[in-house]
Amino acid sequence: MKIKMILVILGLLLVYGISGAEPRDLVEIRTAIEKSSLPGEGKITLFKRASEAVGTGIPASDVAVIIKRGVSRGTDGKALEETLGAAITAKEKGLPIRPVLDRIEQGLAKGVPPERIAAATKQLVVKLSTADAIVSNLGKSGLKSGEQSEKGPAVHTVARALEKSIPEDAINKLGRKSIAKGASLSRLSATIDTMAFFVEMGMNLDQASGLIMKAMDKGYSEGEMFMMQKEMSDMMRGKSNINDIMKNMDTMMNSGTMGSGAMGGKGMGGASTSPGTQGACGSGMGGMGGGHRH
Amino acid sequence: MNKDLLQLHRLLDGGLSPEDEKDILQKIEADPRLQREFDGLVSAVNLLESGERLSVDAAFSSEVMKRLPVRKEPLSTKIRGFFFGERVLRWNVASFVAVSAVLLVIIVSGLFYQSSGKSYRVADGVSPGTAVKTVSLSFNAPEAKAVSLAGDFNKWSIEAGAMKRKDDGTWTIAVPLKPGVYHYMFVVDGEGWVSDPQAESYRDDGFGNKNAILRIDSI
Repeated sequence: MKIKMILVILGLLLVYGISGAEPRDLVEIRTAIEKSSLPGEGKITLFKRASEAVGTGIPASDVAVIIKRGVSRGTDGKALEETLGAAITAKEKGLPIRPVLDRIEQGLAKGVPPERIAAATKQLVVKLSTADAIVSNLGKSGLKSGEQSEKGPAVHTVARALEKSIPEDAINKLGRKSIAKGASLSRLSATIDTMAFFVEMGMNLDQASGLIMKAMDKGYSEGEMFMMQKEMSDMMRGKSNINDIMKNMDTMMNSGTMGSGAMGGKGMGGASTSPGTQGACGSGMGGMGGGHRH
Repeated sequence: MNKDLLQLHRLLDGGLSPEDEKDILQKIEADPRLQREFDGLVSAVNLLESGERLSVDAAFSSEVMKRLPVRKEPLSTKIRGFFFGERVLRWNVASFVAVSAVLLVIIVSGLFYQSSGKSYRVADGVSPGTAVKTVSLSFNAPEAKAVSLAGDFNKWSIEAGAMKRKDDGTWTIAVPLKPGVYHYMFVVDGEGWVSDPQAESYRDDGFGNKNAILRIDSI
């Protein structure tokens, strides 16, 4: 009897705790929509879509951020509904939802036009879907996967590589090589991430692929893969051209000095503190730049 | 039981008037049968009083009722009895303290979970409970009136990561983060999004800008 009573009380508290976390966000969503300048019909359909998103399991706190940020910037209700629709699709397909929500929240925060956010979000969901199939197939082919939690970030990384126009064949080639070398999913994820970074920074696919294959042959760890990105960022800051960077990276890999900063600092001139240095994607404001991490 | 025997019981119970008590005592003196009966009853009383007194559980009645044969009742009566039937709650200080402690842990952890989820999220694939590290970031912008740090750890909120200005025009902030990979940018005067020029790496944000990348390794 005593145990039953305790279990009943605990059960009620848990139900209260779970349900109690949501209504506050839903109230915030409703209030934000009601206060917005959207027409009456638009308010109703947007709230319905927001409730549907929460109903599918998308965190209400994220939906609240999207709605509040969207309506405060005067975003068109239809565009907001479209972006939420893309998130709902991702959730229903069992795809990683965090990258989708992150893209929407980021786009709204940065003042990106809503139509572009909706288009970029939809494109991401398509890429995530393709990436999910690639990662699942590699898993079936024998790729080692430690924890289930590794899959989401790996799918996101592959989707990002696809967004950078890295072909599925190239990704599958890295996957097969990882399986042959007994590498894990998280290491493959770091490998693909680094290859996508090289392409993003201006290398062509062959150059990037050549460096990555070499790194895999040398058995580079996830940390060493990231170190390659760091070295390349340093060399880019030094205004080196892409061919020089390629040669330097190759030399460092051959000599085993990757991560030592042997070439990375060349020509940088202390950008971390000099007032005139502009940020890598700066807004053109003078007298800014030079951030650093301690 | 005849009248004299009844009077004997009342005498032992202390329920007779002085006249009736005197009368029955005289009868006991005169009647050997009544004398034996009285002696027997006195012995029984003495025996009971000399024995150990046992305390009865507070829920004795309900336990007895529970063990009685169950009468077959219609389902509706059973349902009504389940919801509206009175129950005896047995408790002691130890169980009260234990339940209170469990409730306190649930409520406090619920509040902590809600508040911690507001500003900084846990990186993908990082298990909760992993040690948090405080990372300091700085950005040189002497002309700026306000600079803040926005990233995927605070849902790109401009308000959540306000940085502090130092005398040399450098803006700084300390952020508690769990091991993982984070994307961020600096926001100058609430509208200029600037990537950290000293970041370890960069990623396209999907809209044509480059986010800075911060990687925090586990120990």
